[in-house]
Amino acid sequence: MSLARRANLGILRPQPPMAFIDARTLPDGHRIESDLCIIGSGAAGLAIASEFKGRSQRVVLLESGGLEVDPKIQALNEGRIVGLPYLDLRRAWLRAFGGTTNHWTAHVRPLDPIDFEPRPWVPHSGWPFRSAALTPFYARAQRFLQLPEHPFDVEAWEQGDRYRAWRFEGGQVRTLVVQVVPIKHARLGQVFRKSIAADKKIDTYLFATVQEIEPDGSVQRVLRLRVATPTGNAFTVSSRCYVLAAGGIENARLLLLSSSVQQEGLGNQNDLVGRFFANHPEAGVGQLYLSDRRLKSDFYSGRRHRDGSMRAALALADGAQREAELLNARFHPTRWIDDLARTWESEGLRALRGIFRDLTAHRPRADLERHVANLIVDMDALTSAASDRPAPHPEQPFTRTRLHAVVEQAPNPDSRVTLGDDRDQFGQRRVVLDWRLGDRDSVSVQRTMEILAREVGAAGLGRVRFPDRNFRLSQTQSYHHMGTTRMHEDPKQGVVDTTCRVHGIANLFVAGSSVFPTYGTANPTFTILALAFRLSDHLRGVLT
Amino acid sequence: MIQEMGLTRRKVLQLLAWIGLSPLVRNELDPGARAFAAQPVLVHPALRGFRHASAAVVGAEYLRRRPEEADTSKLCRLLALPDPGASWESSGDLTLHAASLVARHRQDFRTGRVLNLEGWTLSITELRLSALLHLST
Repeated sequence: MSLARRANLGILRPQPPMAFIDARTLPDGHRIESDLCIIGSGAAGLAIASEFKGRSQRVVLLESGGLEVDPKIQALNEGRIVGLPYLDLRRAWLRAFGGTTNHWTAHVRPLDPIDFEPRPWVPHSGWPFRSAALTPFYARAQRFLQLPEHPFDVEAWEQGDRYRAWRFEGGQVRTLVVQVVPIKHARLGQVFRKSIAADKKIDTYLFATVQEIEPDGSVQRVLRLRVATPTGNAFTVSSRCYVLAAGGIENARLLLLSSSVQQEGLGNQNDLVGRFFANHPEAGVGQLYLSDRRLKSDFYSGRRHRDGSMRAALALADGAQREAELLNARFHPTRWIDDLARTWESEGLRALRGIFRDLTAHRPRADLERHVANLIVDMDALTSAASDRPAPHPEQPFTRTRLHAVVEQAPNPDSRVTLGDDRDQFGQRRVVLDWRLGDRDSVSVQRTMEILAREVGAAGLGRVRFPDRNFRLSQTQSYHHMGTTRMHEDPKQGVVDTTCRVHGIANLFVAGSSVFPTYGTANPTFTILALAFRLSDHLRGVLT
Repeated sequence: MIQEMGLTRRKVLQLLAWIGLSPLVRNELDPGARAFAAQPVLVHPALRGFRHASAAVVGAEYLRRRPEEADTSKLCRLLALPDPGASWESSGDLTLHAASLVARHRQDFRTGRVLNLEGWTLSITELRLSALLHLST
């Protein structure tokens, strides 16, 4: 029998390992007891579960999907978009073992120190601890993802590369490195499938969708989870502790759905669950005209090395952000081919259309562009490198790269996830997503571009063109759902405390980017992992 | 009028060519530059590829936004260059003026003395030099 035919017949479909239990086969009304129950097997859930491997505590890992992504299960994500246009919710987080790491782009970077600081010019900003508190946990995340040594060190990457980062005078602009995790290490469900299955104390239940987190009458402890499967059977899980690790939108939804005792939803006594929903707005914001063809942008456009791959970006230094009272933003100089490659990897034609729009919108007059480019090249040549020019430069000899911005949005309580009236296949209310951006977010990008343009000119690199004076952020290309169960010491300002425990509930914890009180520009998974390891240490202490 | 004032297009080109502060004479000049080099002061290697026509177009755009600067004497004054009628062809003067212009150009970016020209952020100094070239063509 051919391989293709065997695959069609399902013979080659991955079969769950021994400690993976298909919840559809459980008898209706089944009761499970454990020390720790983790809801969701994505990056956070797997990181926490892996920290309990070989230990005495009994761990139950609940996954709404199976081993592979199934569109029927993904339909549980559907909801209504009422704010800014948003991506397809059915793909926005994945219900399968490994969670959204089954299709993430695997770009990682820690948050910048300034992202943790309360900034007077950014309302609601700041974490309850500084970046140094996460440093040891970032190191564990680095090992978890099998990243090379010094994954974010610009100089270390330069040593193994024939291209260099651009140099800026005055320290206003810096180059930062985003690490790209190899796919073989990034698909966490595949990486950890065997070791999680082999652990005798960890049971993973597939097709197990949590319906409600049930607390005691005084809402001080969670008593059990009500769980259902697509085939109609239901069961309960009782544990000493529970970790909600279902993703930035689903975490909020599950707390809001858990309303049988606390009508407004668990942890929502101060109307904070679902608020402060944030994403990273992205946009092609302009072009960088390099005035010397020897100034390659290759260091910034995705480099593959023996130790891994990286992309570099430009950003304002923390001090420059403070001085100008700006939000964080990073800018990737990208070439057309980079855009195309990334598009094929990710969102297909939708993103491709966006790129075409970026390229065609605000296109300068062809003749003026040529003349300005010539002037720029000549002027920078005259001021810096004239004596080294090897040959007469041809007409319009610049290298033009597109600047793709990944932007921090300011915490916004009106940007939120709520429950609508539509119901999913379990009869549960679907989400309503109202993603909002404020004027501050767009103005900050404009002002950052102005500083970047000046610094590029002063460094003699070339010139920046930022064509849209009425620039407004309005879209994203990433599934970075953050903020909906934000962390704060004060229960009136946050859903979880500094240990990620839901305020007022002794044994319910939240893992994932929903706890981020401020968001930076870094892709969130690296910080999700760091926080998960931090929470694991806390739970191990609680459960001994 | 420019001729009357003594600031010829050739002089502006000389000035722009001298901004680089590079060695005055290079042996490895290409044929085009050697032709320039036959003329007494047009020996700077940067001149080999300088597109004054482009600078003139940009200069015209600048003056469209700031018509009050459409005056050669005024532009020279704003750029701290010698009066158009003065003699400033000695290499020492040119070197000093070029150094001053380079410093101004960079300082413009550092201090925000820039203008947005259809989205491009350009230094006021480079725009005024372009305007000077525009007026001299």
